[in-house]
Amino acid sequence: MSTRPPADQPHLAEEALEAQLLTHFRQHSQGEPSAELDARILAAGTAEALRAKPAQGGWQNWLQRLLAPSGMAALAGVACVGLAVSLTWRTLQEPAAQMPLEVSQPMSAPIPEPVPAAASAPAPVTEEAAAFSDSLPAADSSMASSSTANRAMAKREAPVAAQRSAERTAAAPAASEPAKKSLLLPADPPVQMMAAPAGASSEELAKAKSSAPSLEDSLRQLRQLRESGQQDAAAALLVDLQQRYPQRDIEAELLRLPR
Amino acid sequence: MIPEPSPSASDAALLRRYRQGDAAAFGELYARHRQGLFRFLLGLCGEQALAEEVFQETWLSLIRTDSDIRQQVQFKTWLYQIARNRLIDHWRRQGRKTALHDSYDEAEHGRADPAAGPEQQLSFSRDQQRLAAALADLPAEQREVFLLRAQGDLELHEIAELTATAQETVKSRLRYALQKLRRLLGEPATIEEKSA
Repeated sequence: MSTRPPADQPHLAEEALEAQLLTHFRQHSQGEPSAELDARILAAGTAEALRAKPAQGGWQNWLQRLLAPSGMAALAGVACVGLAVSLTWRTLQEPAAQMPLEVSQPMSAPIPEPVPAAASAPAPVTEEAAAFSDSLPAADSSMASSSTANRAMAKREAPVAAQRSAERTAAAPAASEPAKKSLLLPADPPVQMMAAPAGASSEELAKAKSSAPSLEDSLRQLRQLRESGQQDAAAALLVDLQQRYPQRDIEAELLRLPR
Repeated sequence: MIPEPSPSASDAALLRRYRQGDAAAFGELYARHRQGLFRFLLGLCGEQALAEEVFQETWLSLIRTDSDIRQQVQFKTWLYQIARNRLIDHWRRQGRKTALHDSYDEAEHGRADPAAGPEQQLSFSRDQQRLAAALADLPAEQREVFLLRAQGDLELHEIAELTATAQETVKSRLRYALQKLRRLLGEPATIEEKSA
């Protein structure tokens, strides 16, 4: 191994010498990893490849199957089943929401005669309302526990409601089906009842309701105030009553109030 | 059985295939780089057992990591960098001070050898012990650069990137290493030639 580099081109000569030395060194270097080490490393590499293969192949195969025509059909089938279940569930939920009304009818007071739809707005709080509140699904225990108070209040107003119902029946004998339906609903529960806190106990509610003057008492008080000339107090009470019973015609109720 | 290296696929392609579960691709990568990497480690540390340990750690590190190599980095550079870092870690654990990160005076080790001029007729000893001794006589930084060039067949810019050194510094280290090796290995041959 003896070559003479060109003397007139030192740069090329330097590179040639480098190449010669590197080649010589590569050719005559010793040192090899042992066969056992080779086998160990190759085994580890193969094992890792085999471990990675099923993991990756698994989801790739799954994706391929899903995108295949049969897979698309299966996917469409699953979607149809889901849609059917959803519709069935929704259909079952709607009768479940109406069922308490129907069930509550035998347990409630006799249904008043149908009234025209126009007159159905200021519906009284009666035994039906109390029964309705009893028959509501017990989503909240406080709602269920408040039924006693509701029933008590409904009983207090029952005579007024019965009288009003009789008047309406005389005025409008014919009633449409929606009007019937509206009678089943507690169309005008007192505002306080609706605004009762969810966590309030039945005793607290009953106490609150009994402490609040009834509509009839309030109307009597209003009449007394007007008759005694306390117009300001009467006006304030009127505003208060209108706020408490927004769907009622207070003045009309006042006129109908027996002396 | 180690497969025969084939130049058809690039290292990056083989690694990609291996990551996808192709065990044969790993075998081909291993066949390509096992000898150069092992000799690089052996040349740096001079101990067969330590070279084997670091060699195995390097390949297992490649096997266990899931990340692919960045496009800008050659697989070989990455592989040798792992091996180098593992060896340095091993030396640090052993409390051995390595010169690979120490600063040193390039000129001190790079004195021009008047006997190693371009005109000199080169004749190298084939004595393996003399090769190893000459290599061991090099400063660590020069030895590393020379081994990366000779065994790893890395270009200067790749060595510069791997060792985090300026390319000019790498170039000068290689030049000094070659001069010294030529002197250490060539002198007896030159003497023999002259005497003949």
